[in-house]
Formats: sequence, structure tokens, C-alpha cells
Amino acid sequence: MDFLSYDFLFFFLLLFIIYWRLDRKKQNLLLLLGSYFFYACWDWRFLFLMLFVTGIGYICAIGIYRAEQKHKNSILWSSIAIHAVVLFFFKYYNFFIDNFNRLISDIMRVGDISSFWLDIILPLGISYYIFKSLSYNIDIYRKVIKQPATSFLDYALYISFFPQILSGPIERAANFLPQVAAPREFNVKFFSESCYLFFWGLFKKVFVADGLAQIVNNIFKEQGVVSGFDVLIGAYAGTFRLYADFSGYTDMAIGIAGCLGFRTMLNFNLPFFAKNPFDIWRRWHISLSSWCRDYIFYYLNRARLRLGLIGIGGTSLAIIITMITMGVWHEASWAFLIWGLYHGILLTVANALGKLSGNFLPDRLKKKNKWLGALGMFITFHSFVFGELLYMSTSTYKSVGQAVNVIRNLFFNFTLTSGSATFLVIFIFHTWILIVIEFFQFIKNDHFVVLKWNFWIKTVFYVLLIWLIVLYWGFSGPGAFIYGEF
Amino acid sequence: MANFNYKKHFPWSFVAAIMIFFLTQGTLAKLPAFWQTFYKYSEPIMGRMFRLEAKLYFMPDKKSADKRVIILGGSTVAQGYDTKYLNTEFLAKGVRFYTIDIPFGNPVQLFLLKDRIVKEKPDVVILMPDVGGFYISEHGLFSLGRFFPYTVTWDLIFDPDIVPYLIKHLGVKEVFRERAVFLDGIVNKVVFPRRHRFVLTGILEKMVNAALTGKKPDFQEYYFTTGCSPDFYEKTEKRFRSENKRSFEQSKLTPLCKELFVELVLYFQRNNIKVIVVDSPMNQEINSLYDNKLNTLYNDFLLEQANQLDLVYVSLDELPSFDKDNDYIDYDHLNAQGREKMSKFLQQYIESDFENFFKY
Repeated sequence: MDFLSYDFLFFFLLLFIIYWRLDRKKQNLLLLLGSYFFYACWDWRFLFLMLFVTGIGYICAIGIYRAEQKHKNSILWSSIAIHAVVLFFFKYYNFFIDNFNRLISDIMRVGDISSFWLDIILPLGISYYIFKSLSYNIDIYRKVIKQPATSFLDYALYISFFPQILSGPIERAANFLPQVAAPREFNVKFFSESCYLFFWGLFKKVFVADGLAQIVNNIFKEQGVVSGFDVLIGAYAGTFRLYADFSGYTDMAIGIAGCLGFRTMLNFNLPFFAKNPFDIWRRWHISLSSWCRDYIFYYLNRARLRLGLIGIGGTSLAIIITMITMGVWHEASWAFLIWGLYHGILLTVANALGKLSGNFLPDRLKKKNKWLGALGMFITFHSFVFGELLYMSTSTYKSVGQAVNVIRNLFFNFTLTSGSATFLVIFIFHTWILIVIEFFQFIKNDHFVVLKWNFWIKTVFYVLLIWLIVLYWGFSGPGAFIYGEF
Repeated sequence: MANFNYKKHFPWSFVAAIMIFFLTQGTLAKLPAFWQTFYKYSEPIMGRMFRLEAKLYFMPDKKSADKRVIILGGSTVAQGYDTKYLNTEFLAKGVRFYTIDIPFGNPVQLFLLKDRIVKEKPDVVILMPDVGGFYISEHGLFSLGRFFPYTVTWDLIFDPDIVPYLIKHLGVKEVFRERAVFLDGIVNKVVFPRRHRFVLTGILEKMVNAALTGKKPDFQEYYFTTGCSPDFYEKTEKRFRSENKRSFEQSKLTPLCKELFVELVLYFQRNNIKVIVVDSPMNQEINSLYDNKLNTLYNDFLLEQANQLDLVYVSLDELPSFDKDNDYIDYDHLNAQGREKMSKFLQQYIESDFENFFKY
């Protein structure tokens, strides 16, 4: 069941009407059953896997909480191991077999393990709920959460909450569980904001993301030579498309959760206005990047200190490992591994430069300077776009040479083709509203800046968006959400 | 549900925006200038459903003394009749001709149009369904549209009257499985720009292009203006055989199509419209594609219906002979010369017994 389907519309309307007539316990039960139904519409068999992960997370949390200090560690590691095995089997097993087989059969020529390849279906949302369950256990261990959930149903709702199950955000239990335990109040202002978020997310998906897809698919295809200018437009379009698609989905998810009275975490905070590579990860896919920071980077950082790796080298290693993990979290592929490595190197360089500038730059340059800020934004944005280009070219082309060629064209074959002007016009047409609105959001530092506009300006703006959504709605509905595949 | 401060926080501007949207789209759908301008920019194939609606929109209210003939079918209708010629020939007698064509031209599609046709009060409907349309696979009915997104019409002209027939022939399960198509159809009935979203955005792009370059695109009336390449038939036959197409094996008319054809004729007749069924001219080359000779079963069926229902049937034998090399563009679409022949034939056919032609 997709957010943008008639089935979901009927499902949500029915649930919404019943939901606000019930007391808290019944609301939670309804949401849990609704979430399981939502998931079962995709494939009911994998509900058992979700229940298994839920059970493990719940039991281990109680175990960690109640056990003596010396046993806490082993319970936590058992929990991490079980979660990792489940995730590895469904998501990474075949990738591992493929590559290991290539190594021993094609390169070393010592054997063949291709028969170990299994026809595995990747369960929808597995990366999201495994990470949710893991973070809950670690938070209990670290005492970020003072005590585990008293009700299994509440915890099961946290894991399976339907607005977040397909593509996140990867909500933290510390934020969600207290809301499940507390009575919910229907607040008209919050409801209006949530509806607006859903509407804005829908616009981003239908008009911006799906509109830009035609450029990306035209430029990055297996056949044909791509000119440098087209690669540049393709890289911009691909980055904006990914952003509009994923943040559009997230906005819708947050909006739906908001209609049910839940305040969920922000997943995107105007990432293209980030001033440095660290800042962008505080703004882009926040729930994943903060997860990796809190549960991988901090751990690695402590470990390297324990091992005596003091200095910039140790930090860099921790950063790179964290970013590679973040890359392969998306998908078991070399393209994402390279993407993670690239961002790891970028952060390492930024870290080193930050340290150097701290030591050597004069004080007047260290002070806030709007031009330096703008330059920082420009460089950060383009380094991010380059990362997306790396991913797009490595995932599109089968041969490494072709992928390298495309990137080389960007710098050494910067020519215009007959289609270049069209690509540029389509790109501008599908992005200008998003850019203008985000600019207002940035200067006012308010995500709901539109809601504060004059009644008639707001109305005209909504009419424009409705027209564009209606006209650009795909033939068989909007395209699939990119992050739904992860 | 404690906070009910609706007056202040309710999204009134959004409600107003929805109302304005419906108002603007409703107004647009009623504006002659909109239809005229967009019709000129529309393309015959991609914009055929838009053109269909535009044609129905531009059909003037019928005066009581006038006679109206609607020629209804698939692309062979659009390509096969010259209404300008016919209207000139019958101007003095007050007869007006209109061609209404729908993708595939099969009875299912034609059935969906029945109310729209009746609303225009024709005296005679000349039905020229596509022969191939009677052989569609029932279980490929919906997926057929999926493969040809720009010619699909289900969601554009949806008529709920068809649902009982679909349930009868396809079963509740399949109809339920394809529920989104029906729901789309209902939404599209209300939201006009959604119905024609692809055509409208395409035309808008053309308009912008025309404004920027100062060149207006030429108006194209017919689907095909040039003939096929000399090796077209040979190549198609080869492709057909290599792909082992399903339709190659069709050996019976689809029961759903047969039933809907009968229902359509009866519906027109109940509304005092005379129905004449005219066979589609067919290039002999088509027999190399279908071993079962498409026309045999089709003709038998129509002959049987002509006897059972009070309808006139003009078979292939009565049509003028069309030359396979000079009158066709492909297997079943006529070129300008073929169109002239077909239109003249219809003119003579009507003239030969004008008094009785409109009697029903």
C-alpha cells in the first residue's frame, strides 16, 4: 500500500475517523493493528520477521535493564549480533556471495560458490525497523532511556508505526515511546501543519521529483554519449530529484503521523543551505546520519582512543568507516560503498581543514562572514552534488570506464548538445518553486513560513500547487519512492 | 479532542484553494477559446481523447430539421472518412457528418461512449468497430492499457454501467484487483485537467516553444499522412512470427466484446437511433499475419446480429475494392486516395436511398 494510492486514502480516512473517537489504549491497539495491516498488504509473511525482531528488541531491552552490570554487555552484544544477522542475511548475503565468488572463481580461480546464491526477497522497511530496534537496546544500555517500555504493544507500535515503516524517519524510542504512553489531544493548529506538510511533500514528489526523473533517465542511460553540460544538469537534477523524492516522502510521513497526534523527528532541514560537509549531515537524512553518529561513530571514536589512536588519523578512520556503513545501509552495492567512501573522505578533509584554519587563520576571518558563509554553501552543495553524480554514474553504467568517462566529460568535454537547452528549461521549471520556498524557509528560519503568509497569497500559492500536482500526476500514479527500496 | 480553535487555525486558505481550483477547471472546460486553441496544438494520436472530447464539445445543438450522422469506431474511422467532403455534398439536404474515434475501437471502448453519443442526438450511427478489437484477450483487457499508456482510455471515459458486464465475464476478483482504474475513472470525470493531463502539459510545452521560436506547429488532421515503407509488410510479418504474438493465435471472438456490441446497438436503438454497421476495409496482407483469417468469424457474427437485431450491415463485399498498394497506409488504415473512395461510397450509399436512410 502506497501513501499515494486510493487504498491508502480509504485506509487512512477510516482509521483517522475511528482513531480520534477512542481512548489512548484503544488508539494504540488500533494503530498497531493498522500498521500490521498496512505492512501485510505488501507481504503478510514478513510480518513474522518483524514480530521476531520486535520480540528480540523488547526482551533484550528488559534483559539489559534488569541484568547486573557484567551481563549487560553480553546481552547487548547478543542483541546486536541477532539484528545484524537478520539484516545481513536479507540484505547483504547475496552481495557477499556474488563478490566472494567473483574473487575466488574469476580472479583466484580456486573454486565456485555461486550455488550458495539464494533467491531472497528483501523485506520492505527492514533497514529502518532493525535500526529502530537496535537503537532502543543501545539507548537502554546507555541509560538514554531510563527504563524499557512496560507494554509490549507500545513497543510493537514503535517498531511497526505505519507512517514510518517504509522509508523512515528512523525514529528514536526516547521520542516516540513517551508519546505512545501519553494521552493524545487533537490540536487543530498541529493538524493544519501536518496537513500542510503532507501537501507540500506530495508536491515535491509529484511535480519536482517525478518531473526531474525524465531528465535524469534521459541523461544517465546505458547507451549514448553525454556532454559535460548535460552531465552537470543531470547531476543537479539527480540531486534535487533524490531530495524532493525522499524529503517529500518524509514530509508526508511526518504529516500523517501528525494527523494522528505524533510529533516525529525532522529528517531534512534545508540541506542545500549547509555551510560545510558536517553541516549537511546535520540537515540531510537526519535520522540516519544521527543514528550513525550516535551508535557507530561515537563507539568507533571511543574505541580508537582506547587503542591509543590519538590524532587526526584515528578520527578520520572512524569517520570513513561510519560513512561507508551509512552508504551500504542504503543498499548492498559498490556504488553506495563508493558513495560512502567519498563522503567519508570529504568529511575527513573538512575536519582537517577545520583544524588547520583554527590554528592558522586570523581572527577576523574566523568571525562570521556572510560571503564566506555563501562560499561555504556553494562548495558544500557542489561537493554533495558530485557525490550524487558518483553514485548515479557508478550505479547506471556496467563498466567502470563508462562511469569514469561521464565524470571526465564534466571537466574536459563541457559542450552543449541539441537537448541541453531543453534539459535546462525542464530543470528550472520543476525546481524553481522548491528553491524559492526553501529560500524563504531558510531566511526566516521557519519550516512553516508559508502558513504565516497573507490569506490570499497563501491561497494563490495553494491553487498553483494543486494545478501542478493534478497536471503532473503520473499515468499510473506517481513513480515509486526511491528510498522505499532501501 | 480538546482543542477546537477552528476559526483561527483551520486551513481555510487550503479550502479556498480547492474551491478556486474546481472553479477554474470548470470554467476552462466550458471556454470555447480554450478548446479551439488547444485543439489546434493537439496531435492526432497522442491527443486523440482530447480531440474526441473537443469534437463532442463543438457539436452544435441539433435543430429539429437537421439530420445528424455520427460515424463511430476506432482509428480506421478517423482515417477512413472525409467529413468535409460529406458535409459539402449533403449541405443542401441538411445532413451533418461527424467522426468519433476511440483508441482500439473495440466494443468495450465504444460501450463506454454510449451516453456521450446519445446526448448528441444523432439520427444515424454508423458503427465501424475495429475487427481486431473483437479478439482482445479478456484477461489482458486492463494490462493492454498498461502497455500503451498514451492510448489507454479506461480512466478517461469511464462509465459505471460497464461494471456488471466486467464482473460477469472477468469475475469480481479481477475487477477488484483493478479497482484503481475505476476509481481513477470516477476522479477523472470530476477533475477535467487530470483527465487530459498529458495532452495539456504537452500542448503547454508546445505553446511555450512556439512563443520562444515564433514557429507555430502545423495542424495535423489525420493520424497518418505518409504511407508505410515498401518492406513494411515483410518486416511486420517477420516480427510477428518471431515474437509469437498472442493475437496470432486468436481463434474466437471475445464473449465480452460480443455481448457489449449487442448491448450498444440495443441502447442506440432504444434511443431511436438507427444503427448501420460497416465493415472495416482490410488490406489482404493481414491474412499473412493471422492464420485464422480475422474477418471470417467477425463477418459471421455481424451477419447473425443483423438478422437478430434490426440493423443494417454493410459487409466487405459491398465496399468498393481498395487497392492494397495504393489505397492503404498499412493493414487497415486508408490513405487520402482510399479515404476519398470510402467517403464517395458512403455518399452514394446514402444518395441511393436517401428517403429510407434516416427511417427507423
